Amino acid sequence: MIGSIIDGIILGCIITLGGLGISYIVLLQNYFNFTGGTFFTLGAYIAYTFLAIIPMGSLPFFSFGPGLIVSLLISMALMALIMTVIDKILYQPLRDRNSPFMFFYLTAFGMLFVLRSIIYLIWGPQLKNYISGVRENLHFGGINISPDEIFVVIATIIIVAIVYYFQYHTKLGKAMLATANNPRLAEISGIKNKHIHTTVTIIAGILTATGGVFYGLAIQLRPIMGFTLLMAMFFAVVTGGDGAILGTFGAGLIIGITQEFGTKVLQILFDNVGLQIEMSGYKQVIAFLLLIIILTTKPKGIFQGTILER
Amino acid sequence: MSSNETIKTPLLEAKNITAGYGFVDVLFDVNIKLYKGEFIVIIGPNGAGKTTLMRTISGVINPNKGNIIHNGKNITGLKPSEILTKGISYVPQEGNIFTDLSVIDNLEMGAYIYEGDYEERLDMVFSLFPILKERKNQKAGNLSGGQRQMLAISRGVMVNPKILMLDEPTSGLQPSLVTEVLHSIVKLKKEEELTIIMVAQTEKAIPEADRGYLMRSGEIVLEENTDTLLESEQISQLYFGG
Repeated sequence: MIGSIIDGIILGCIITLGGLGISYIVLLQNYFNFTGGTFFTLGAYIAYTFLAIIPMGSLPFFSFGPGLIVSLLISMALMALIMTVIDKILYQPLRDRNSPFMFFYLTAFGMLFVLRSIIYLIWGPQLKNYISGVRENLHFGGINISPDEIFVVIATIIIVAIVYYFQYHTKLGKAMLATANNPRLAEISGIKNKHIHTTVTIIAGILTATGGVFYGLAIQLRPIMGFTLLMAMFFAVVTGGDGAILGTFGAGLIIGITQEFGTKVLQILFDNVGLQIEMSGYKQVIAFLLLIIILTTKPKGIFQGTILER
Repeated sequence: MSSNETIKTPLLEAKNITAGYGFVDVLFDVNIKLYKGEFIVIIGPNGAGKTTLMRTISGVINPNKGNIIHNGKNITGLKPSEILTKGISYVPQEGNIFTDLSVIDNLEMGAYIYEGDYEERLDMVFSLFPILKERKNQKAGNLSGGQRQMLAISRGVMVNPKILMLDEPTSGLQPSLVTEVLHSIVKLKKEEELTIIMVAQTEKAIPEADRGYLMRSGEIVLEENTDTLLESEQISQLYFGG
């Protein structure tokens, strides 16, 4: 049981990173980018490709080496570039024409299928791993956790802290919030909206790639890995509050733990009553049900008025 | 160039401006001039086109005809952020503060492109409106109407502009606050050596200005110094129905 909570925390960290990538787009452009999950997958596969070229090397304590860190950095840069190019070609013209939000959703939906096809075409449907062989787990108090998973959790906390500092304590971060709040006044104040949109897309690309690589590190690479987490990412974004960094992190952890712990509890329950249901296939349903409950009871987010509001 | 000629060269000029929204024109062949150090008011009934004129000068909308000239240079078609770099700061009537940001962050955004001493500008604004210092960490959306207008004006001057454009800064305020805000604007003009163009709803603003324009149905129908303007029959009709 405690093990499933730990698994939930790790998954929650990964959901947070993917969710923050989507959250930035929601904050500035006010629509949910369905492609977010597929960008997440693409980021993971790009790192996988570079890892075939760059020697992995070794690091004490971890099963991965500096090669993965370098591949992650390359993936971050490429995802920032890819997402910026897609934004400029597809979404900037829609923004310039003040197009209805339906156009944004349709474009994002279409891109999801295009990118997914590209991923299948290049990397195929097989499962892949960054690290071959069995990983050593640490055992304490009945908990099994690998050093790589500890790395994912600590790195996520550091990334969330950096993003939080950037957003609320730097001029550019505040300009992003100002543009999200009142784009016309921001432009009148000398903030160039197009630059802000580009900055936001770059940050979203970096966070999305990191989330994807962390998923690949903690679990494995699958062509639909981002898509299966999309509902959980939406949950983190919606219930965390509009553009709230800590809120998204808190909500990410909640949905991660609920998915892992909840499926475990329900599995035991169903097994005891003799129902033959494999609950691991229904994690997205749990995320969706929880999202509906929150949307109907706390539509402005679960952390409003708390320290996690920002 | 003689000093007399210098005085006669407008700092800002709207020449033959025709502008509007979509295919509908709201302004028709409007001409106004603003000289350095002047304080001019633009008055007129609702729908006269005052706000559209301010939006056109500030680059929020592009004119369909005519030019905006600043210091002898054509600045027509520049974006609002580019107009600001010319030292022209615009405070719109609505949506003039970042409601989700704190008071201090609003002021920081006002000084976004300012390269001088930010703390000095902050001190200037806080000495003009001490209440903003008391409320500096408060969310701007939670301020009262008067405080919002003070913040909006402050945001506009944080960039240390040469020309301040105010669109109905006293709109919706109680009479005592109208006087307070107007006195602050006059104080700002003197201390900051500002040139001001202000759209005003209240006749109280007229005596504070040097000159005024009366707009009606998208056209300038009267241009006078404020003393003459106050005695004009058209102004009496506008404010007192007489």
